[in-house]
Amino acid sequence: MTLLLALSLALPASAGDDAPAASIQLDAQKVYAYRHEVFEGIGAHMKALSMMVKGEAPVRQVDMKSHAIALQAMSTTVPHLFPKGTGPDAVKDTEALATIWTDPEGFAAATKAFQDSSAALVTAAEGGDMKVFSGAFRNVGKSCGGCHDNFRKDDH
Amino acid sequence: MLLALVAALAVPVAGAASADSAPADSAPAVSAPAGDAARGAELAALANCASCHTAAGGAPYAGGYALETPYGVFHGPNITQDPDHGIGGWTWPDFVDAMRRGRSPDGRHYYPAFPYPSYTKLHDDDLADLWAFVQTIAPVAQPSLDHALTRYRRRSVLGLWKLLELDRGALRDDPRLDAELNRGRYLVEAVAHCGECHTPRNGRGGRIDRKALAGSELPPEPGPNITPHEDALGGWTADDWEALLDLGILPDGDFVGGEMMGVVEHGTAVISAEDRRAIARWLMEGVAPQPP
Repeated sequence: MTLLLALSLALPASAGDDAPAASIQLDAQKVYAYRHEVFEGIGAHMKALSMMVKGEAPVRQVDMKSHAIALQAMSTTVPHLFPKGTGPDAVKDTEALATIWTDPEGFAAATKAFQDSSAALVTAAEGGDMKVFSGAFRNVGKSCGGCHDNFRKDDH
Repeated sequence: MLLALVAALAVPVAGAASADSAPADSAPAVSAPAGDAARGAELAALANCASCHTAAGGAPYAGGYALETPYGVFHGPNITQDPDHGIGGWTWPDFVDAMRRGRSPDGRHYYPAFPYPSYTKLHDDDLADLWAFVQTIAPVAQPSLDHALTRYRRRSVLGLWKLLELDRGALRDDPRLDAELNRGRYLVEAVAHCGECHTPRNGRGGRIDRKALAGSELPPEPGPNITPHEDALGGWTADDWEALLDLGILPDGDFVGGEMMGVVEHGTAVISAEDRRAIARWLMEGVAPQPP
């Protein structure tokens, strides 16, 4: 259960220069716990932005941009969050589906869609047109839902 | 002329007594009423007709979508204006018969994968608007695919099914409800046909309406319990509903996926904010809470 993994979170990704200096001993449970917090954070930024889009929160362009930049930054983290051995076999509570590891191309495409949509969100925030931003926001939402469709348990 | 037609359509036919041969809502006047195609397009969007009548990457409404069910695979047919492969040759009475009675122009029963048990509740003027809209759909000469069923392969049994499961006739306003709640109920039950995916079904595949919207495990994918029960969506506010129906975002910042994403993107996000509010109010106040 507490399968110990000697892994560096950055290993499976291309950005080798991000690798931690020393290889950190992490168990699957802790990988999951961190990953969960990252997605909670992403959800919180999306929720906050939705309130601006719906006119339920004061709209300040600088804040819109901050949320968008945060999302774009975290989108580059997502591909690193699923090292082998941290799936449902190893972590009881994870909603990650085994398809993440059995369909790596599909998962890479889904995480790329999040990177692209959130990058477009930053551009839209810089432009400052609320209508454009709202459309870009919907596209980010679609990339969230699109990935969850195939790679996350459906009991939400 | 129009009056006579409306009268003919409006005669309510209640419950199991509505044998399929009942003349009350059959054979309406032959010439179609003047519908508003733009309003029909909005209704078709909320009903999300395109989702089941369009193959992935295919021409809109030209059919080919595969709905996998415990009964086998249903293929959404071509409903473009093509006279041979679509419904270009249909008359207004053909259309009303299909929507209200689940019956094809040549007298065959439709499978209720086509949600006529919900569409039968449509108001006459909305049917007319939908009829005006379907006539604007560009013809596509693409043959419809046969269903590939493992059960109920003989359509004749559907006559009995309808007797047991089809409560035919337009939904009438409940005088105890205000106008917005009646509107919300109508949009949920008739147009958006939410219950077709969110209401559990009996062994025959009929909706169990006393458990309306309590959740269903059936395809195209499980539809969750969306009733205001404390263990379902009882904590949702009007703002939560508006955010879901307009943006597809859930209260925790997550987004709906799958079929519901399409329902939001092409349907509930497209309709007016007033109609979204009406839907939300009905789901919060009108629907009976059901335990998960």
